Amino acid sequence: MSAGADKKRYLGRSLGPRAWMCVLSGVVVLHFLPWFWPSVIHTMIMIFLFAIMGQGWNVLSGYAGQFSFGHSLFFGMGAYTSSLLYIKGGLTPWLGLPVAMALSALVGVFVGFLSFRYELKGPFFALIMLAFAEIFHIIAMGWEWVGGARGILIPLQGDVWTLMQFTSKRPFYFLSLWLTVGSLYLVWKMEGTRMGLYFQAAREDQDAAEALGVNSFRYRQIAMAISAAMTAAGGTVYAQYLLYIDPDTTFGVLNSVEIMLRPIIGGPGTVLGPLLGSLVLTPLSEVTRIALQAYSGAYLMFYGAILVAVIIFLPDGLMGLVQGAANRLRGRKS
Amino acid sequence: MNTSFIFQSLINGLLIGGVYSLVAIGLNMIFGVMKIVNFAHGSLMMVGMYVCYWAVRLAGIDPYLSILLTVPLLFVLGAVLQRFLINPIINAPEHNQLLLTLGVSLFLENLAVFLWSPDYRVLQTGYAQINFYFGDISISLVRVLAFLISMVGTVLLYLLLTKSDLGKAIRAASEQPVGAMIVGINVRRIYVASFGIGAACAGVAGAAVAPFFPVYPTVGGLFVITAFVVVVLGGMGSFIGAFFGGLIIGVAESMGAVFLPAAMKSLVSFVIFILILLFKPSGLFGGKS
Amino acid sequence: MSDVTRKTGQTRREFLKTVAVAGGAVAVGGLGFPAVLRANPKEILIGQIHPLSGFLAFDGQELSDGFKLAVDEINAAGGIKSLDGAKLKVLTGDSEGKPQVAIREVERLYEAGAVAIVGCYQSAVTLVATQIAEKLKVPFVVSVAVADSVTERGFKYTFRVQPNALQMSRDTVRYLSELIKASKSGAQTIAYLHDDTDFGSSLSSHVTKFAPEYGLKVIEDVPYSPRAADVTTEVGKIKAAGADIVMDTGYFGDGVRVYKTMRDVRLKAQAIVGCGNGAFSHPKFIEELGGITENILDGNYKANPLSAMTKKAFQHYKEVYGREMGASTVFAYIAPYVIADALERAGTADRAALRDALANTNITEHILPQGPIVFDENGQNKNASAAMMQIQGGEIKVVWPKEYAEAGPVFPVPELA
Repeated sequence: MSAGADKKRYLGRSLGPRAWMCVLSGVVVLHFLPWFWPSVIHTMIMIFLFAIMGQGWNVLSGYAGQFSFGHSLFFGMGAYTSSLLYIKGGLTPWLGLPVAMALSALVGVFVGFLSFRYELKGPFFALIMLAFAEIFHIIAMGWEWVGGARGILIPLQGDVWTLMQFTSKRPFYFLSLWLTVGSLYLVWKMEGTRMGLYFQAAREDQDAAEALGVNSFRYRQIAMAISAAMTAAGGTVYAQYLLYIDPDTTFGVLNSVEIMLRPIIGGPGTVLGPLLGSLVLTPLSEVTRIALQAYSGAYLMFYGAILVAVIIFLPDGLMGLVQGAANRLRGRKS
Repeated sequence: MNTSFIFQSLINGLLIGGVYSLVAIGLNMIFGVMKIVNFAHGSLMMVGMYVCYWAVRLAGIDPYLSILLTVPLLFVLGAVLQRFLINPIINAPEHNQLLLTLGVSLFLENLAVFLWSPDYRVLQTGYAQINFYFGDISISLVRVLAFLISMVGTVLLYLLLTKSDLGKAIRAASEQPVGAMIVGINVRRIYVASFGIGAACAGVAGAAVAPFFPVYPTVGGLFVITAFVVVVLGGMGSFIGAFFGGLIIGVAESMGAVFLPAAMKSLVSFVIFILILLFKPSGLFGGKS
Repeated sequence: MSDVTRKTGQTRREFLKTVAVAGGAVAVGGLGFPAVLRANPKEILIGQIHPLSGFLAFDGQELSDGFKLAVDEINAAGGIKSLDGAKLKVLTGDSEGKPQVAIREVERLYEAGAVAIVGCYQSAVTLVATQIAEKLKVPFVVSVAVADSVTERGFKYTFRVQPNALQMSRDTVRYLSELIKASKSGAQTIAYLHDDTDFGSSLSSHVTKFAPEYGLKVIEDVPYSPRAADVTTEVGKIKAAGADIVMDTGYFGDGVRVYKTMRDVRLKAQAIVGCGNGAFSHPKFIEELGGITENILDGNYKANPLSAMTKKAFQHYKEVYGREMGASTVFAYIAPYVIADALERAGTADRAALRDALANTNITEHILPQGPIVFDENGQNKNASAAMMQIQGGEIKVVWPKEYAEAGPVFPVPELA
């Protein structure tokens, strides 16, 4: 978030009703993608899943201003909860999904209770989220019942829609597309409500907000719950799509980084930020992975460079650029 | 569970704790002076490890002598990072600074992957073969040396901060940046120097452990998290705190490994971390929070 | 779709056009045309997925080398004769030691047209890769992976030549008990150190289960992370257990670290015995640690040292790569031969037909210390067996069972007393 006059730009709406219509028409077009461009389906699914999780992060960190370095905690909660419920209890992931979201929200509220009650701010909050994510990571690694270091391999059932398993990628494409649209809509609506304004007020100036009667503790917890649930949803679909999860890919620190980079690059505190960031970063990682061939992890080098560049030159992310251009088009001065 | 085994673990914990202290002191300098949470600290240590590794492999230099190379190289690296990347955002919100150092660490780690592959590299030295035996307990020479080097580094840094002009300027700039500027101290330049010193500490710690720790691009990740735990435990900004915190965490981790299954030993550090953050955020030795 | 002749990058429209033309030609042509349409491919693509980078890069590279050597040998001998001498072409995938990456690699190789895939060295990675291969209906011949579950899921497309965990651990415990009986050393207890992945855990849990049948008992079981840099505490726990025999399972890199640590802390036992250990039966292990490796035992898969075919294969490997073929590499080397044998019998590069041919495999001329290579209904090599090796005079020798032994065993091991 930049200081000074630009602050006002992101209080309230980042996306007007007309812009929202444009987004929706884009979504309609996306429905035809699997038939015109089938080779990018996997990439698109990844883009959507990370957009959803990034949006979750965005609610807590972009809007409510509590920067979390440990969102992999909720991703892992989502992935493990639904998978364990299925493997141990035979519960279909369709039902496992809301349970995972609820459980994740509960964990979030617990962490939030500890952190916000003790007034942890800024880097301390970021680090405590990281610590909790790592604790869950370590427990998942060491606890045999949840698979330990081997993780969980969800048995292949073939095409069983009731168990959220499909041999084709298309159902996952549409599922993740709709969840993304849902998350965008939720945040878009939230922006305009009082709750959304309270989030942003608590972010910008906690003392002033409290003086005006905003219970920042309560709103932070609400933001945390929404954030955790949204990210967990992405985790569940991810687990069903790949049919394999392990502690590293779910609770790992790298995952937290991947999740939060999208809204940061795209524009924190905006509706489209996470999706925009995902549209840029996910294909970038795929392309560099193929180009660099030898060590596909090295695409993170570019992530690092981009992150540094964005922080220094574009603290409002890509949406900042877009907003600036839109304002200039409308002849408005910022 | 016999006593000699526990004693052995205690000693090993203390020895590695010394290294943690040095890493944490470097991190602490950066935080104490500039209030920057340096996520890239682990990758700086990793660079130090690779410098040592290549010095030995390519030039046949003794790993401990390579520290003479590591110190200036890492100092310059740290100084450059501060001057060109961090100084510009010195007034940005804290989380942006955190994100920037995260970006730097991502970049450095994966640059290492790109240049030197993610493979684990093991430094084969004669030193690694030597062990001291006291009854049932064996202590490896390289760990003792790592501890000694860390202690020397700590003492030198302490002397620098308390006795030298630079040290006094650093302390002034950290306590009262505006006042320091008024008396003519170039605060920006002090920041650059401080970051350089902090980086050099990480580099020396890296060179100290390279003889017995595998060298690979993401090795820094282990140490940076531990360093944060130490700094928070000891109290952000407290030199003494970082020193003792390192030893405490080293022992706590080692004891954790004795009683808990292998994968869970870092749990101890994290639980300590969370408890301190919640109940005594200023740390054991920290004055102001 | 098992259309091997489809090139990547063809758009849907072009494809439809091709099908339309071909369909029309068949309709008009009549009898003569089908033979032309089914023209045999000059090249058959087989894929391999191994950890070519990451913490198991050393192991993965070796397997890849063995795999490629076998393919070259098969091509040099004339390729697949029933397919007009079609040559095998290698498509290489790098799992980086991670299951998620392997998933992508399986899909990539499938889309590139591989008729069969070989891999993956790690049990965890192989479990995941074979599941994807089963979904895509691509025959998967496991090079190295020991976990039983790889061939216990009722999959039709997974085949494994190496012994599974059950076979390997039962053989190891049996051989160990025979060595103890022959030497009258009276050993009864075992302390087992192993990596915490599927690899180590499956072997150790089987050994624990089989031990009582042979008069032995596992009294301490300590897992460690193969990626951990420091294993002193875990080794310390093993030492503190004071068992008669110490067993160890791990990959190459961690196997070296663990053993060195064991000697550094002056671990005492009648013998240190590996089970499926990636280091103990590897020549590079001796290179790296030197004399302290003398008399280490390892119950592991191995090529039959007494067969002429084996000697020829090992010699060829040494000529090309300048180093000895390791025991794991043997199985990456065998895989293409098994696939080539199946292709010959199938007479087509169609994946489903290849799968059926693989299921009916019966190879008697091979380099393993066992009867014919025959797969059971789950794809596991029925006759797979392990052997007990010992490092003697700086060389790895099979010392048990007697019919494949090159030298007599040294037991108990004097250096560890």
